[in-house]
Amino acid sequence: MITERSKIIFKVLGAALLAIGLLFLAFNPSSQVTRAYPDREEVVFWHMWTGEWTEVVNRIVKRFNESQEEYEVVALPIPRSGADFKFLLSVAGKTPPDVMAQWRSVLPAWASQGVIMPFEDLMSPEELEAMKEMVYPVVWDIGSYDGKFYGLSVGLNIWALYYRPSHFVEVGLDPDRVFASMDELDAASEKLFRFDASGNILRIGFLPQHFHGWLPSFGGSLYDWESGEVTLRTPANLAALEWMQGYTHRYGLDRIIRFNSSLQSGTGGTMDWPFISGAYSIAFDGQWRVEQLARYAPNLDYRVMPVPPGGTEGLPQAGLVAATFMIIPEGAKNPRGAMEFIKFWSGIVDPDRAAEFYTWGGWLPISQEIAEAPAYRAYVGRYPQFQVFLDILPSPNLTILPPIVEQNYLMDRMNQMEQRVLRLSEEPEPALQGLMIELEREMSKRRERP
Amino acid sequence: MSTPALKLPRGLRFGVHILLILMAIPCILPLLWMVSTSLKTDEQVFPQATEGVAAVSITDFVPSPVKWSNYPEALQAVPFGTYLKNTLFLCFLNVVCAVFSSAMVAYGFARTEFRGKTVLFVIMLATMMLPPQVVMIPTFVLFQKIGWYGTYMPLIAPYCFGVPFYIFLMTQFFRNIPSEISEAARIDGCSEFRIFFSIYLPLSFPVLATCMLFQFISTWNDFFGPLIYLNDPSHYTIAYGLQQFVGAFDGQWALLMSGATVFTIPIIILFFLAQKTFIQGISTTGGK
Repeated sequence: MITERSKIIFKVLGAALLAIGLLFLAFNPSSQVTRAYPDREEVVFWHMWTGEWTEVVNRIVKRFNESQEEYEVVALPIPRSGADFKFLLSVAGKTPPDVMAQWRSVLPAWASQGVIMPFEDLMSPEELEAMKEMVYPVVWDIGSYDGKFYGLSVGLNIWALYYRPSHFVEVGLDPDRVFASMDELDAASEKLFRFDASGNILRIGFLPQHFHGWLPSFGGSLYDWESGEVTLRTPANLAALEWMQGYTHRYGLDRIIRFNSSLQSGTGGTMDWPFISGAYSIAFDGQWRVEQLARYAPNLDYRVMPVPPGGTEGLPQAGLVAATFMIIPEGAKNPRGAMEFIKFWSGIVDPDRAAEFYTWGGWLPISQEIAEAPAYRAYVGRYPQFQVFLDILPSPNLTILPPIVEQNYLMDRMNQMEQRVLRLSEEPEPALQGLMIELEREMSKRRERP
Repeated sequence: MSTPALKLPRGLRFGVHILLILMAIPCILPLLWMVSTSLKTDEQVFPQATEGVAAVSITDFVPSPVKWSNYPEALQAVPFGTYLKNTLFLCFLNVVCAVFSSAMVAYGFARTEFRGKTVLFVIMLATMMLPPQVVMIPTFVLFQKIGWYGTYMPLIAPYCFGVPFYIFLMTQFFRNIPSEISEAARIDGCSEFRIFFSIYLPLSFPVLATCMLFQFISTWNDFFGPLIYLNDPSHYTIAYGLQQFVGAFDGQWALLMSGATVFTIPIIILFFLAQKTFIQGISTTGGK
């Protein structure tokens, strides 16, 4: 039985707890960053460059803040594992940043949901047209959705073939000769594979991965820009997938799995990249490896060559381009300031100045003007391997991921499909067909939503 | 009440210990790798063969040379002192608020009678079944509307009103304490508050300590809370700040592991110190 006295005590305690809560309210330790230029308009910038990359971003932000007197960009690095979540919550709560740097497959989905702002709201048609003229065509395509422009790239990513010249020489291949076709790559890979007496793999010559990255070289594509439809079941796409699976047939799934399992952790970081240890003679990877290799394996002898054309419809200097791009969320308090910052960083207003920023991060430029700026030429002089990627950039055979709302879904399911095909649990043709059915189902679900 | 120790012949006991040590090795390997990596140079982190596959050997765990400077570097690379201070501040408040408020609610459920008690208890248990993702958006919008976004408040306030899991644990524990004690105290004129404070709390130290430890670890490791609500690096906590080491395309492994070692040590020490109480608290609430 509860006594009157107890009731009073519990009431007092409850009131005390409430008082503590109110005290917190009054205390309310605000989480505002100390400003260097408090008189200027604040531009809140979120990005996912953590670790050593934060310093690079801070240098660019500092340059912007010193370059004018109206805005102050305040940068906040966010761990990428939770960045999208935080961003979407902030938009839902109407407290988003003014600008965010992104590199995931989010632009079409966020644009269609009204999460991000079209640049048409902030730039005149003349300005937009001038920008379109200036940048590489893929930059415009990557930032566009449904006839509007939503994200300007500040660095492009392209993949090419990294190879070890010493391995080439060892098996009698000419390291100075660029592969003219996928058949030549296959033949070289065959020579570069090494096995022990029991038939276990000691070194992999080459092993294709990342299906979407190979499609353009086979003349394939995931999207028909004329009709605006996703194209998965094309002869070229099928040829690419069959070619990839051919490696598993040739060298044996068990042997490949055993070999890859014996490698280091495989987190995808620089240090455990099997190309460094020599476990792979040829590797398909992005331009960022050049900068990383210079830092972590400065004495490694390696070269880079473009992916050769494959199949009967193959294209030279082809590839899939991805980008880091800047977006402005709906509800941003200072979209004008955000726009000025984006122009500054991307090099739309001063390519020569921005070229330096691209070299700080080892990013591929978004326009020919930046690529030809003295600062960028000096950088390529230091890292000649970069020239291979720069040569690919103006190519008409570059493509991007389909600008569809389900881009993220498609990439996720396509990676799963690729794994099934490479592990021989599914044949390429039904796999592509199944993927198309899955995608259509997902698209129709969206269409049916009110 | 302690269980009498199992008497085994010396040889068998030795064998059991060897077996247990062998079984413990896989559990401790990640910890060893973390400490070993924290003392390596970047080049040593993943052994590089000049050709072919680098075989993993026991010598890979021994850093050579030992790079002690990773620790000061890691501690200087991010403001660990600030993160530690913020984390301890949150840990202290959360532990006090969560354990005290939960104990009061649990006492109510265990030892007082009121209408709708069972229904309320079931509702309270049901909140444990809700996935955090479901409540995250409404909670965020709520905190944002009352002006707490960007402050510590959303990381503290929810713990001032009881934590369902602790309430459940404590309720079970309180129910195990003979009700005759509280009845006798009540006859002697003790108020409910006095019974709760002078009898139940002192008798419940194992479960209180267990909940304290749970809450401490939970706050110490909390990544999503600070991610969602904090926007000023000077307010970051250790778990969140540690992510700053993970680069955009690459990790600074040696520094990351130095930071992780510093981050983990307090939890290990705490666990060893509170081990007996912790196990006692769990076993007492788990079985009748």
